[in-house]
Amino acid sequence: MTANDQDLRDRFAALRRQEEPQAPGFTSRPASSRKPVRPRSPGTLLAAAAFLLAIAAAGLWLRTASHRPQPEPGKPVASIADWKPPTDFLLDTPGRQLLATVPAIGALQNGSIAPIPAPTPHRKNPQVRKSVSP
Amino acid sequence: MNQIGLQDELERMHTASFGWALLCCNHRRDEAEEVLQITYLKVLEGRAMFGGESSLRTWLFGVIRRTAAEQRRRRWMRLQIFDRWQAGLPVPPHAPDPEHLASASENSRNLLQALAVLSARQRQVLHLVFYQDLTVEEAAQVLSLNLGTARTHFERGKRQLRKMLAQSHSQSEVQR
Repeated sequence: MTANDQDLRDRFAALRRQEEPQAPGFTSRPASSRKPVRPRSPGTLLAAAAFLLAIAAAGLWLRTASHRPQPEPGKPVASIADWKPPTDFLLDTPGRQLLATVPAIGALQNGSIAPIPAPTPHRKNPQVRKSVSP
Repeated sequence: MNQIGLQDELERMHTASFGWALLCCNHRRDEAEEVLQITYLKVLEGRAMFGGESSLRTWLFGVIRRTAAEQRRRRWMRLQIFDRWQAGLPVPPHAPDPEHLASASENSRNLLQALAVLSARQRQVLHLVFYQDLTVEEAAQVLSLNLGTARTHFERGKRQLRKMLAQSHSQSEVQR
């Protein structure tokens, strides 16, 4: 700070003189209403946290329990075996019928492939004619 | 320091504390009184503990500054979230309380208006040094600033303040 700052100091001093009488009276709370401040122990904090957690868990449980669908009286409960997944139709790929059967050429009946005819019984000890080279 | 001694010290510094609280609250008297009450409660209830690293006055001014900032943030949030957001109005810029300005003398009014143009840090450093008679080092402690930073704010603030005061002086001369 330099001596040249005296002008600013005077201005601030004038402002201070003006503001000082406007200050409210110093009032502190009466001693009876003052409670000694005790630092909270970690055990208390832990207990409070556990209590809050228990309340939150109970609230969550009640919320899920109230949203659970209840079976109507008199209505039979559907078995789990009857349940079909909603994405089951995805398994019905195009041409699945073609893959399920072995196609036979020229055996198309009514737009679908006819089943394979039953295999003919094999002859016993078939004579295989061997070609003899000269 | 015991409770009674602390209370006596607070009472002794009450006027100066009010002046500092006024500056921290943009010269809004109601806000300054509220901030001062909250600060006293903090100190007397032990929520703000004096560690003895600085003088009691410097420490108390630091507590007042932080309390004023907390209150300002709360008020700003309230305004921003509810009133201003719904109405779509801009947040008012820093300006001294018109009521306080009207009650001040011409010189003080010029000073308050010139101070309003400065940055908050410059305003605070100048107030602490010239109004509260603290050293720049003590002002740096109150504001939690480096000494070099506080000096820079002090020098730039003085320069800016003189410029603004000269402008307002020349304007008032022209009006006469």
